[in-house]
Amino acid sequence: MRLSRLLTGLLLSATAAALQAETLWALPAKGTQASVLQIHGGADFVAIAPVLEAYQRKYPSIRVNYHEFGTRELYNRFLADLPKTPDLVMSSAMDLQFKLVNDGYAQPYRSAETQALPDWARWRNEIFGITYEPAVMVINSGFLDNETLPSSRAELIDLIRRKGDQVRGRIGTFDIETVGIGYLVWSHDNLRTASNGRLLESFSLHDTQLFSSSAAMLQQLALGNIVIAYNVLGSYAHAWARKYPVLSVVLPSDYTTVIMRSAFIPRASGNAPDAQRFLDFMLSLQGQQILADKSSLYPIRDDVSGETSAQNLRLSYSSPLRPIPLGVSLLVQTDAMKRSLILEEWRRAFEAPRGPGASAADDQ
Amino acid sequence: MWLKIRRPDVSRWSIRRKLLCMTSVLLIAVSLLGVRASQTYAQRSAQLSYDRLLTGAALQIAEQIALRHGKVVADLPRAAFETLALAPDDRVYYRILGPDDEHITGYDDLPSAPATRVRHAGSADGDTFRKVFFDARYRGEAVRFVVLERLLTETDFSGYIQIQIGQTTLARTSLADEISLRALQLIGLLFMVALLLVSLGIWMTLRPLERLNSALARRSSVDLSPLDLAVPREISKLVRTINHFMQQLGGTLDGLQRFTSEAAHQIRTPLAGLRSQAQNALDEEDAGLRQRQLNRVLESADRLSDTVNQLLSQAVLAHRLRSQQTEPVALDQLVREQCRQLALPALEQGVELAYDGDDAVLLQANAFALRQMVQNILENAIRYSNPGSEVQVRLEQDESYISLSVADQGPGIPDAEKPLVFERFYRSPNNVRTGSGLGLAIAKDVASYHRASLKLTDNQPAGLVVTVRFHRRRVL
Ligand SMILES: Nc1ncnc2c1ncn2[C@@H]1O[C@H](COP(=O)(O)OP(=O)(O)OP(=O)(O)O)[C@@H](O)[C@H]1O
Ligand SMILES: [Mg+2]
Repeated sequence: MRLSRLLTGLLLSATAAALQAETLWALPAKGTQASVLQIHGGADFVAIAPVLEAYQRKYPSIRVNYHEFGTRELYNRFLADLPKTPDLVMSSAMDLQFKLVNDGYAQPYRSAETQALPDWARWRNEIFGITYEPAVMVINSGFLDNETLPSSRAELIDLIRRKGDQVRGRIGTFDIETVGIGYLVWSHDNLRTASNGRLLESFSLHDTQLFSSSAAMLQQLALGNIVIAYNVLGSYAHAWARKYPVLSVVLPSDYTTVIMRSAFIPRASGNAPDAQRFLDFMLSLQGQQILADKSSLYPIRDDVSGETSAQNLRLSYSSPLRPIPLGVSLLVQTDAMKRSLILEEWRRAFEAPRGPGASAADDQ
Repeated sequence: MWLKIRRPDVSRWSIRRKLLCMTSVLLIAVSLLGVRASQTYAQRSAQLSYDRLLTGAALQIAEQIALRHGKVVADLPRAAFETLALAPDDRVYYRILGPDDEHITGYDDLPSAPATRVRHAGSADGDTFRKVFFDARYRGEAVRFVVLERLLTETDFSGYIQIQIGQTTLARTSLADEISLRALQLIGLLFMVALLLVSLGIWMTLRPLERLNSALARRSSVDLSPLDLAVPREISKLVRTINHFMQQLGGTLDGLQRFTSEAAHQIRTPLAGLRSQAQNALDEEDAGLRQRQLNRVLESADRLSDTVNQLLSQAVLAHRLRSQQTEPVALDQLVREQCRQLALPALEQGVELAYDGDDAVLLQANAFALRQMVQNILENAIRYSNPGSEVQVRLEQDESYISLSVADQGPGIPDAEKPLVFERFYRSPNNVRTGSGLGLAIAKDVASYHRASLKLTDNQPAGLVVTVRFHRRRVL
C-alpha cells in the first residue's frame, strides 16, 4: 500500500510518551546536518511526507522533526509550550490557526511565493493557505438502486426522508466535539445558512454515527456499514472513490464549503530561515505539484495542473465553491461561549449513544 | 580684480523676482496650512469611519446578549466580525463582561477604559447604551478600543453588561494617509496653478513697462518729443512724468544752445574788433596815434576778459547751484561783507554806499550764489550812479519775509525795458558803461533758485530800486 511504501524510507520514531496525541516523525538530514526544522502539524504525516522528502532533497543539510497532533491539541500545546515555539505550524483548523495569528504569535514573511497567493488565502503576510480542501458528501451508490445521486443538501434531506429506515444508523459525519475541522466546517455552515438546522434534525432522527476521522468514516462506507458520509474531506474522498468505484463523491451544488490547510511561522521561531524556505517550497510550483500528485491534496496555486488542482476543481464542477476566508470572522468560531452554544445544540441532537468510530484520536 | 562679496541688495531685485518671491512665500505658507489642516481632517475622518465600524460591531454583539436561566449568554454574531473585517488586515480583540465585571467571554487581559471616562460619556440612547473610545497598547501594538455598556433588564435582573472591542490601527492609518495624500496632490496642483497664474499676472503687469522701455530705447538720443503709448493708468503717470521731464530737458537744451551761440557771438565780435584795432595799430606810422590805438586795444581786451569772467562765473554758479546743498546763511553778515568790499571802488567813482539792516537774518541758502547775486546788484547800482550820489542798501525781515533792497540815484530803467534787462547779454542801448549784460540774468537765476522774487522799481526822484524778497517759510 501507498502508506507503507512511504514509511519504509523514513526513520520512524513515534514517541510513546505520556502524551498519546503527539507523534514525532524525525527525518534526518540527507547530507551533513546543519540545522533542525521543528514543524508542528495538524495534518497527518502521510499527506505531508512527499513534500518534506522533496524539500530535504533540495536542502540536504536540514533535519526535520515533524510533530503530529490533533488540531485542537496542536493549538493547546502551542499555548502551553510558550514561550518555546516550533519553527512552523501547519494545520487545517483555520479558526484555531487564525486565532493564534490574530493574537500576535506569528511573524510576518513576504516573498515572491507568498505574494502570489490570492488575497483570501493570506492574512497580514503572517498566515498562508497551502492547500484547498472541499467538504464533500460521499454516497455508497450500492444502496441507491436506480435512483439518482442527491446533488444538494435539500436533495440529501429528501433522500434520507424517503429511505427512512433504510438509512437509520447508516449516516456518518464528523464528531465536531473532537474533530477540529469537523467543528470548523459545521460551525461555518451553521453561521452562514439557516437550513443547517434541518440537516441536523434529519441526522438526529436517523441515528447518525459520529466519526473521529475521514479515514474511519470512508472505511465504514466502503464496507457498506454506512451509506452516506457527510462533510468528508475531498482529497480523502477522491482517493477512496478511486479505489472503491461504488463510492460516489458529491460536491453539493447549493454550496460547497472549502477549507484551507494553513501555515505560519511563530514569532519566537528559533529557525525562521529554514521555515521560510520550507514555506516557499510548499508554495512553489514544484511543491504544489508534489502536493497535488503525490498527496492528492488540492494545491492553492492556479497554475498547478492535475486532477486535484484548484483550477480543475473549479472547472469540472458547477458547484459554487465557498472558501472560508482567512479573516477576523474566524474568531467567532474560536469564541468559547459560541463554541459551547454550538456544541450544546449538537449534543441535544445526538443524545443517543455515539457511533463506533468515536474516540479522542486524530481528526483526519 | 577685486571680487566684492555683497549682501543681496533686495531693493535692486527685479520687480518680477520680488513679486514671485512674495507670492511664493505666501502660497507656500497657505499650502503648508492646507496640508496641516488636511492631515488633521484626514485623521479625524478616518478615525470617525472606523470608530463607526467598531460601534456597529459592538451594537451587533450587544443585541445578541441575553439572559438564559439567570445567566448572561453572548451568542456572537458572525456579522459583527464581518463588519470589523472591512479593515481587512487589522487584528481584533474583544471581551464581554457581565455585571460586577464578571468575565463572560473573549480576551481576559484587555486594558480597561479609563474609569472616569465611561461614566461621563453620555449617549443619545439615554441610559440604555453608553460608549467610550480609547487608545491603548495591547500585545505590542497600538489598538483602538470601544467600550459599549448596555443595560440588561429582565423581570428579576438589571445590570450593565460591557462589550469591549479593540482593533489595530493599520486600516485607519492607511485611510488617513490616503486621504491626506489626495489632499496633498490637490494642494500641489492648486499651488502650481496659482504660481502659473501669478507668473502670468506679473508678466502682464510688467509688459507695459517693457514696452515703455523698448519705446525709449528705440529713440535717437536727440528725439525729445513726447511718448505716445497706450499703457495702464498706473504707468501712464510715469509716461506723463517722462514726457514732462523730456520737455524740460528740451527747454534746457534749447537755452544752452542759445546761450552758447550768444556767448560765441559776444566773444567773436569783440575779438574781431580787437583784431582790427591791433591791425590798425600795427599799420599806424604816427607814434602818438599808435599809442592811443594800443591803449584802446588794452581797454577792449579788459572788457572781453570781463565778459569771459562773467560767462565763466555763470557757468560755475550754475554748476554749484545744481550740485551743492543749502546751508544756514547769515544774510546780514553776507551783505555787509559785500558792501565793505565794494565801498572802496565806489568811493573812487564818487559814490557813497550806505547800509542799514536788521541783525541776525538767517536763511537756508547757497552762500556762494547769494554772494554773487548781491555783488552783481551792488555793482550795477554803483556803476550806473552819478558821482556824488548815494546807494542805499537795506535788509529787513518780518515773520514771513526777508527783503533786501538796493536803491540808487542813477538814471534808472524805463518801464518798457525792465523785463528785458534780465535777459542774457541785454544792455540798455543808451548805456555808455562797459559790461557784458549778464549780471542781472545771474541774479535772477540765483533768486529763482531760492524761490525769491526779484523786482525792479523806480526810485524817487530818480534811480532804480532792486528788491529781492525771500519767503522765510519756503525753505529749500
Ligand atoms: N542801477 C541801474 N541803473 C540804471 N540802469 C541799470 C542799473 N542796473 C542795470 N541797469 C541796466 O541794465 C542793463 C543790464 O545790466 P547787467 O548788470 O545785466 O549788465 P551790465 O551791468 O551791463 O554788465 P555786467 O554783466 O558787467 O554787469 C545794464 O546794461 C544797464 O543798462
Ligand atoms: Mg551789471
